Amino acid sequence: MSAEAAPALVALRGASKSFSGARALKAVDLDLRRGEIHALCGENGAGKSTLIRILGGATRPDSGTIAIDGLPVRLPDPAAALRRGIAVIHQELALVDDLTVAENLALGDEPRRGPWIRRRAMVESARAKLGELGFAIDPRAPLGSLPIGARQQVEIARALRRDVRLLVLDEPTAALSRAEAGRLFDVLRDLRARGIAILYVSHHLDEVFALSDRITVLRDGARIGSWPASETTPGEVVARMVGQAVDVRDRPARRADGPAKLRIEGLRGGALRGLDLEVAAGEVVGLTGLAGAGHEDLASFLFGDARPTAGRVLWDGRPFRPRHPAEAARLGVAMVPADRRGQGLIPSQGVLENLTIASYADLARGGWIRRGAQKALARQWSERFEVASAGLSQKVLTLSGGNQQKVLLARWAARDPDLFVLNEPTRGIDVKTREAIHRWIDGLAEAGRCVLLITSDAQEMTRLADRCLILRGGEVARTLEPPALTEHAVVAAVVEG
Amino acid sequence: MPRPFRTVVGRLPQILLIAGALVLMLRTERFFTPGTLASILTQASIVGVLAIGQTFVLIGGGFDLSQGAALALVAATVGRLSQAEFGLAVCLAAALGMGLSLGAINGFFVSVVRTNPFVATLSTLLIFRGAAFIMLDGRPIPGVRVFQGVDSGFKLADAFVSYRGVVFVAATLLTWLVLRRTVFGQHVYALGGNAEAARLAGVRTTRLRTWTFALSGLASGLAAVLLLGWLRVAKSDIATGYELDSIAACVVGGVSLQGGRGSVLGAAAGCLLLQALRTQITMSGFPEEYRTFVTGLVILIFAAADALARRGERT
Ligand SMILES: Nc1ncnc2c1ncn2[C@@H]1O[C@H](COP(=O)(O)OP(=O)(O)OP(=O)(O)O)[C@@H](O)[C@H]1O
Ligand SMILES: [Mg+2]
Repeated sequence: MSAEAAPALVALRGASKSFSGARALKAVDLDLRRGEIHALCGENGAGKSTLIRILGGATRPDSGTIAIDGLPVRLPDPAAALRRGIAVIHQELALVDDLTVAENLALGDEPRRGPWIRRRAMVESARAKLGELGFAIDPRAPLGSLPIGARQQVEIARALRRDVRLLVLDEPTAALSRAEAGRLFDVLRDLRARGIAILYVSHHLDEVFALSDRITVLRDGARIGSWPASETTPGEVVARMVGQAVDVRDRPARRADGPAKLRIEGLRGGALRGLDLEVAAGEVVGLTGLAGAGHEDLASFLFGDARPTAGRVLWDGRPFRPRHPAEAARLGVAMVPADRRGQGLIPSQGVLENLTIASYADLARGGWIRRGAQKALARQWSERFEVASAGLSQKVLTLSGGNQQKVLLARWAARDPDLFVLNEPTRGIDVKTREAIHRWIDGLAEAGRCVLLITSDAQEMTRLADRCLILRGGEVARTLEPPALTEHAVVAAVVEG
Repeated sequence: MPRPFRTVVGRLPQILLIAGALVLMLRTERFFTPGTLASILTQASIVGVLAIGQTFVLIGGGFDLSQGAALALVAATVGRLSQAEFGLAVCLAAALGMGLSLGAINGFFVSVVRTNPFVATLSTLLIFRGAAFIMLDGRPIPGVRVFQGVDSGFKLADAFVSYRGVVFVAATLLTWLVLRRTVFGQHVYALGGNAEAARLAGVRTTRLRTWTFALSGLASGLAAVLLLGWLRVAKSDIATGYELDSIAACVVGGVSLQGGRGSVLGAAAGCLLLQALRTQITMSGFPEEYRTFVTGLVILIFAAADALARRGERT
């Protein structure tokens, strides 16, 4: 690449931003060049999303300038950024669930004849756009009915509908399966070849190195530096992000060969078509598959969120049929949902309430919450999970994405349940914390808890699972156990069955 | 935006509330007397009690339009009971129990059947009001004296404090504690903030939502007791439009119509402010017609201030 010689398309100089006294960004400079894929790396809370929001006009910096083609510009709102060819896909998706895919794609820019929307043209152009990007999505489907990965593809397609010169993606692959991510990378490479500048954030360094031309590292809101990807290594990048080296452990040798604590027999309902599964105390069982293969349904059934149509679940030998999540929680099940924003967090409340909501029953005496105990519990677990917040009363959505995820994990960890259903537990979490969470899961297994791990991250699967079930069409297609349980085997099994 | 300015904007509704109260107090000498203040409390008490019930529903993410009608139906029932010579205990139990049940009907339709709260409570508004009319045969029942005790009061520093005002203050404080300090209250905030997330965190959301409406009905029952104690007449058209006054009080007090945010202290303060405003307008010799106009204007200003204050938030 002759990227060095190209002049900057977008140049950011001295961008600073504080939130009620806490400095999220400190005088950051950034150059983005045509035809270059630029990766932004940093720990949770390093300021990546804030930087991106500034570029997209969603947040105004306290100071600093932005120049496009050398001319200073002001980006007071997202519409202004869009007019100048900067499109941003934020960490949390921004689509309308009640509209169809085609309507979402056309929103604000509908094909029309006079006052009438040309529905056929709208659907056709949506189909063409999705096809061009290789996304297999029915344009007539209501958005809310799609799995989160497909919803994100819609958002990407939407960002690309107009003339884009700089495409910014905040953790775009966090919700995608490996196959979907691969397709996205092809799209991004294709856009790069057309001269579009791309800035993206990812916590997956293997991906960063496979895809990007240049890497910028942020730490504590300051830019540590930028390097061509070919002249640095993942180890160096991690050390710059964290300020120290992180040692990633291998899977500890666990042997849980006691009797099955959780036994599932012939379970049907949703996408499931007769699933059998046993989990012993102290065992981590992984579940994965393409979207809609049935692993999400299993999580719903175990947590009482939906009811199976046939088959049975035995817990300690006794039938286990929770009627609703409250009952499942009382019986000792915890579920961390994959959709953090929609199903996990209560946006109007602070860290304190979001962290302790599942523990109110234990914290209360006669219906009255003991404040001291509540605060102590929240403090203890936010320290244990290293939640970076300005205080327990900080509104949960103002935390960085990774810290929001930590609050959700801490919410259930604080209850110490017997069965954990963890749905993408490290989505959006940085390398260092990811390792800490993996060790926490090791600890759960050591303490004799049952863990069902649903993850589309093959590395995480091999690091944690004692057994990995690959689902396809509602049935177990393959079961992998060490030593056959390798990243390559998981990926291959998901794709081929 | 510079930070001090941000802080001011963020607190705009509260600042307006305090400034408004100060202006009202300083406008006339007569106004700032214990007597006038106590009488504002008394006059605000009925809508105030309704606003407390409305606060539960609004924070839980709902909306209750049937309060005034439920009040009238409860009053009609009590009128009939008192005609049949039932005593205070029976009438009081009937009023509260019936209010609770009427609210539970709303709750059932909104949370179990999943009817939109606006539509559900609009229908029950018509049904309750119509039922009150049928029950009374269209004729008012005069001389309902069972609850006249709440219309009396006691002297405190030259001012006459009515028991109605005391009930209002006590109910406000109790509700404040319940919302802030109990599991139930915290669950209501979570319900209004993100119902799906609350459910998946182990909150019994269906049951909880039914309860918020039932409590609003209970407030209507209590308000019926206070209103009957004062009017001593059961009519089918009493308390018309009170539900809008209670919603207005909540809006002025900063309770979010989106759910999940607000405090009952705000709702009570909003109710007092609106009442003080009405009293002030009357006392300064403006014609009655200005009251409605100014009340509307004040609500709009508070709603706008609230929206402005939230602009900077990530949602
Ligand atoms: N609206 C806000 N109010 C208060 N603090 C905020 C707000 N937005 C961001 N912050 C704070 O700014 C800091 C940087 O957050 P940012 O979201 O940019 O992190 P990030 O690098 O994207 O992290 P992650 O990898 O977890 O997504 C965090 O400490 C966060 O709590
Ligand atoms: Mg982020």
